[in-house]
Amino acid sequence: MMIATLFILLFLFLFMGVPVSISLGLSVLTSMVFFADFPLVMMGQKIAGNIAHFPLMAIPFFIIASAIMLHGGVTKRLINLATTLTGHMPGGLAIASILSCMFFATISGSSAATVVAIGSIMIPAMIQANYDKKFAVGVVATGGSIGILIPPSIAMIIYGFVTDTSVPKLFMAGILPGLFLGFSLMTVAFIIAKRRGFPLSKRATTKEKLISVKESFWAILIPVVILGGIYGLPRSFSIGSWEIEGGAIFTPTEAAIVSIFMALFISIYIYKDMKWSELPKILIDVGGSIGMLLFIVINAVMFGFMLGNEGVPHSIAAWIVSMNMSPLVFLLIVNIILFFAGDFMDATPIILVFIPILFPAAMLLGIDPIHFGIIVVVNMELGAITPPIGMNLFMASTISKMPLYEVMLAALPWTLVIAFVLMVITYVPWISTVLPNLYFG
Amino acid sequence: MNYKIKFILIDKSIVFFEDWLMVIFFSVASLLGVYQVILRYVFSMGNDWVEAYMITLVVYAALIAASVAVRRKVHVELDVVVKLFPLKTQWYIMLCSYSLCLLYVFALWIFGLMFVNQVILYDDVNILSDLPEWIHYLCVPIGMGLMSIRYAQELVILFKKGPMTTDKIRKI
Repeated sequence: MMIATLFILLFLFLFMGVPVSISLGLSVLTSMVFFADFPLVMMGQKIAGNIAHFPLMAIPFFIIASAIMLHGGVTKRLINLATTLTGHMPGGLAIASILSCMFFATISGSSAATVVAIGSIMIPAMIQANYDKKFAVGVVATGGSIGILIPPSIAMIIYGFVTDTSVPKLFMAGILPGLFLGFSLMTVAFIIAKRRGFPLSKRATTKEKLISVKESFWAILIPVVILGGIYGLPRSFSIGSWEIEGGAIFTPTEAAIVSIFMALFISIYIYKDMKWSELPKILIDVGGSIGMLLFIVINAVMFGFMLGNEGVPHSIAAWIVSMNMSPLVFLLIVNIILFFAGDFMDATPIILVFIPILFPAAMLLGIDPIHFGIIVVVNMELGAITPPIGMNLFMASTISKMPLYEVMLAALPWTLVIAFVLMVITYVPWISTVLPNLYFG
Repeated sequence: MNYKIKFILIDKSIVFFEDWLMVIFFSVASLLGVYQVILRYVFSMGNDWVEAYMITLVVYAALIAASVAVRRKVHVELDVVVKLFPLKTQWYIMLCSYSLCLLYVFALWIFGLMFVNQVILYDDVNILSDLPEWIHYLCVPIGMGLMSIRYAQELVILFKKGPMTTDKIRKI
């Protein structure tokens, strides 16, 4: 009765236009008032306690770092590099957009941030080069979703937090699927551009290419330091009397903090595209998004706590096992559930609400937690570009000034590419597990 | 000074308070974070209090930022269903929706105050930060209080403006 009320209220509030975070929290509070024997004053503790965890601190710091990189000219130089390398090919600017999304994904953990960072430069550039506007918007809205698959990734941090899975392992597991998705999108962009005869750009000279590589050197150094710091050297070794220890140097949270200071140093002292005086404005601008995201986390953790307290995840896991379901069928069902959930909710609440329910069943069926995590993240990418709640669609609509409905149509063909990649990743676990297994053993 | 000017001045003061506290908390938390990294990896030492302070500052900043998100209307919501209704019904639904939001954050404000009061009575001190425990939880009444003010403001504005579509509400 209580669980039914919880879900009925949740959907009622969501459909009334109550923000996702408050819908989650209010449904918990109402159910508690009527059904649970839980001191309500503890809600005061839960609000602060639910996000007071060191691993979750990586989320605001990665968001701040990517905002500084966007304002400080780091993103601009990454886009220049991608355009010089691929701009001359059929659909070159679209391919450059996807490549830029992949570059930006290595310094940002959010797909919405990637759409804004790349889209605000590449959508006007593609339109100016006489590309179809719908095609341009669709490419960026979809390409941006790579932001949560290639490390670092906010979605993976939250998944790791909920399931107690190693975040560095998840980050490493996202690399190959991220490259696979990126190259699949590029291939489709190439084929469409060739068939539709989009205009070709001039091939960059070797000198131009070298200049753009030189200019983007510092921008590329940021992901090298972030990921190099998280993974460190695979094993210890010595050069003469000098002993170099292997293993991680930073935790993901520390890497996020280091990336803020690297981004500041590079933007202010090397590229000189930003001044110290602009920092408060950047923090104020990005603060709303951080507040929104962490308030969802607070309330979704409370929702998950309620489900856990009622024993829902274990009952569902036991029921799935009693059905003698094969892991392949289970994963198909997971994909269907997450696809529909992704249509109505943002990635963060989905991971926090659905994964505690599905994860125990996946473990009982012997599915690798890292592989399961990557499947979840790719589903979140699909959710980000499918209506009615697709964060990337909202962002693409805002920056392209295209009505939301048209952006949805523009992104529709590209969802098929992600759906194809999702199926491959679901049924070929090797893609997700090979790198973490090689590195961590 | 008439009421309208007084309200504008109060609003500007709250905006200033929200924005600058958020900037200070995020900045100090980042500085503490980098200090810890340098201590740990350059000097092979570390202080437990740094991590505790950093987390507390981020939680404070996040709860204030949640209020900023109300002001900037960036909280994610699902409005496709609401949009299916006629204009006046949309307005009524949005009034209900904002009232529910206000009710929730106001309830959390009360629970937050009650919890802080309880913690003060127990006189606990945090082991890691060595600060009185209530300081770690004071962010809840502060953040939820600010959010309550913001939702009350939104509700009054919506009520005064009269029936309009959800798209227009978002542009106010």
